Amino acid sequence: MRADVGAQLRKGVVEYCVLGLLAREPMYGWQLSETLVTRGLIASIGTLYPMLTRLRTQGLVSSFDEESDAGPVRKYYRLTDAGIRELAEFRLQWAPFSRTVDELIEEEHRVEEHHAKERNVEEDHHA
Amino acid sequence: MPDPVQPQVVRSYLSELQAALIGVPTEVSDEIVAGIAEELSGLDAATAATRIEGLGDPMFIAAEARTEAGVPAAAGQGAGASGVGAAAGGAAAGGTVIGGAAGTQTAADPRWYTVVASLFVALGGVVIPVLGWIVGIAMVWLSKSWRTWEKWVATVLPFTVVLVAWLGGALVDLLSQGGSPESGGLYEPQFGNVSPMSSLFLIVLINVIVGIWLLWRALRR
Repeated sequence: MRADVGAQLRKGVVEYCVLGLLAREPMYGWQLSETLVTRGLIASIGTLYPMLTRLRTQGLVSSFDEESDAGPVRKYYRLTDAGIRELAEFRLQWAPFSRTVDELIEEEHRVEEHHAKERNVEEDHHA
Repeated sequence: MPDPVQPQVVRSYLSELQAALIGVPTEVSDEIVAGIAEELSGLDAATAATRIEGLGDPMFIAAEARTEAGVPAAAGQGAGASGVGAAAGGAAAGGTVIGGAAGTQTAADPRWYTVVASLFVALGGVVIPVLGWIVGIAMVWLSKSWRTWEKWVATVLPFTVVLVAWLGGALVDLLSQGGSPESGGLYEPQFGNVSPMSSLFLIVLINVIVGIWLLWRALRR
């Protein structure tokens, strides 16, 4: 179960990360893939395109072709109005959610720290 | 389609990738191949090889795509697909997808569907004039067995060939009228070299060829 935690967490948020990246600027597939792979959010470009297809089907993302000065014609992806709204909604939920998780994890961490300190004091006392 | 000016390393990689992506919904596999091809386009062999190394094994990419698209590993082929797909499979099944069940996509069509659709395209118009062919083309467009460009070829090729034949006929008429002394007046296209019967025969012939081609394209994957 522990090994799956990272994958589960990534899976839950990676689509919103794509929306977040596209909110900054339109990006092409390779560019998106490089960014997400570097950050450890996806394993390969193979994960990205089904996600983009899904986002486009849902009307959150649209694509357009643009010719670059030196390179090939690229397919760029950008957020639609629905995508902007979806991202805004997620931002509203994410902040309190991550704060709550932080608090709960930290609480447990503090309890452990407290127990450890108590054990140390007892050991010193016996010594 | 392979670009003849691409370095060999790029052509090989894209072919391997295309083969590995069998079972992935056509829309997705087309986008993956096109996205990678556009990035590798115009690069020399050495630079392309470096990029390809960074991309990774086509089987791995295909397995990831299959998992993300919700296609069962059995729908793909090749030994490499199963291991990686299985590793990430649990995450895909339990992952959060914006909009709920939108991630569910089906694999390629059953073989009988592919055969029937190809037969309708080839002979449907002969058995039930016009309507039979329309049914065949509709089945092709609804199918995941063919890529979008193949569907377009199947749809427009018969008309394009007839149009080209007509224009060719008209050009011959124009040239012959232009060269004759009694032509004098305005040019009136006759399309005389291609009669309606010939056009019909041409459409039937092209549809048979297109049907066979569609079947061959789908079954070789």
